[in-house]
Formats: sequence, C-alpha cells, structure tokens
Amino acid sequence: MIDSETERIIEDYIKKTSRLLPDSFAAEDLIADLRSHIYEALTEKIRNNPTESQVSLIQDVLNGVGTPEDIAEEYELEQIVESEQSTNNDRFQYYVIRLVAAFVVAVLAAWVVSTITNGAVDFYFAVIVLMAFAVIEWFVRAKQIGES
Amino acid sequence: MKRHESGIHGYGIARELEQRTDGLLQVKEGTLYPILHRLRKERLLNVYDEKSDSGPSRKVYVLTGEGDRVYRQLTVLVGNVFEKLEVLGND
Repeated sequence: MIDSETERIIEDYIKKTSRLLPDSFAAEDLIADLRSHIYEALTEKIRNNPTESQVSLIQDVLNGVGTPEDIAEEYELEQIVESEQSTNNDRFQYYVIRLVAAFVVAVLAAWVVSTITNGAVDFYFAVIVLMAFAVIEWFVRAKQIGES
Repeated sequence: MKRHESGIHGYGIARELEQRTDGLLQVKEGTLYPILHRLRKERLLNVYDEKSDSGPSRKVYVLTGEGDRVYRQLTVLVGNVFEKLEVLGND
C-alpha cells in the first residue's frame, strides 16, 4: 500500500514532466508508461525493503528514472530523428513525382508533335528527346540552386 | 520462448539492461520510453496492455516482423564488428 505523501511526490513528478512535453496523445501515452514504470519500480523496492520509508524509496526510484528534463530532452531528440526520416521520405517522394510528371508531359507532347506532323516526327524519338531536355533542365536548375 | 518474441515491458527492459551487462549499461529509465515510442511509430514494435499488480496497467512491447528483421540484421552487424575487433586485438 502506497502512502499519500509518496503518491503526492509521484504526482508532482508526473506533472513536472507533463509540463515539459508537448500537449499531444503521444506525450500522454508516454506519461502513462512512465507512471506505470514508477509504480512497478516502487512496488518492487517496497517488497525488497519493507522496513524502509516509502519517501526515501520513491526518491531512489525517481533517481533511476531520471529528471523530467532528461525525459523531455530525449523526447525532443527522438522527434528530431523522426522528422529527419520523414524529410528524407518526402524528398524521395518529391523526386519520384517529378520524374513521373516529366514523363507524362513528354509522352503527351510527343503524341501532339507526332500527330500534327502526320508521323513525320517519330513518336518514340520525340519522347526520348523531350525526356533528355527534361533531365538537362533538371541538372541546370539543380546547379543554379547550388550556386545561389 | 525468447523475450523479444513474447514481449517485455519498459521496466523489464531497464532491469535486463542493467542485469545482463552487470550494471555497465545503466540508463535513465524514463528516457527509454521516447525511444520505444519512436520504434512503435516506425512499426518495429507492437504494443499491448497487461494488468499489473503494482497499480496502473502496463504496456508490453513486442517486435513486429519488420522489427525482428532489423534486430537480426543489427545482431549480425554487431557480431561482425566484435569479430573484427577481436582479430585486430590478436594481431
């Protein structure tokens, strides 16, 4: 049985940690995990040291868990890793979409050119030339962005 | 059944880290949870609730198929690194 003073210390710690984390479902979930961790660690300590005061045992537990600042710092680090990964995914998606769009435009333009000239300009030849232009334009633009 | 197949809760991970490494890998236990939550978002871990005698219910983390694949890959990678270090040490 956990006494009221120990409960108060736990709640203070949880409140301090909550204040340092963003207001989100993910953070709430993390707080719930943290709470059950603290209770579990405390229950084990009480079982192993039944004569020791609970206030001193909870201090031991909280020392092991880390300060609210430690947890908030790790939470931020993990968010950065996550957003970097999603940025890389977004970039890959952007390049794929651009390539597909360039191909669609090249096919349409080649079809128009081939139809207007009554087949004098070969459709497949036109697709290849237009795709080559698209790639050259891409490189020139990338170089310009790199230089600016 | 192995631990990573049956699942383990956060408190258990902290205990095992400490015991299996003879106290060498002592982490601030609370900092494990942001990591576990990211691995869950990356679908490397699954989670389910389990009743606990100590009070609030606790979450049990289990490797997903993808998590198991990454775990095996990392095990091989780390094994290779240690093998190479041993060879270097023997030279």
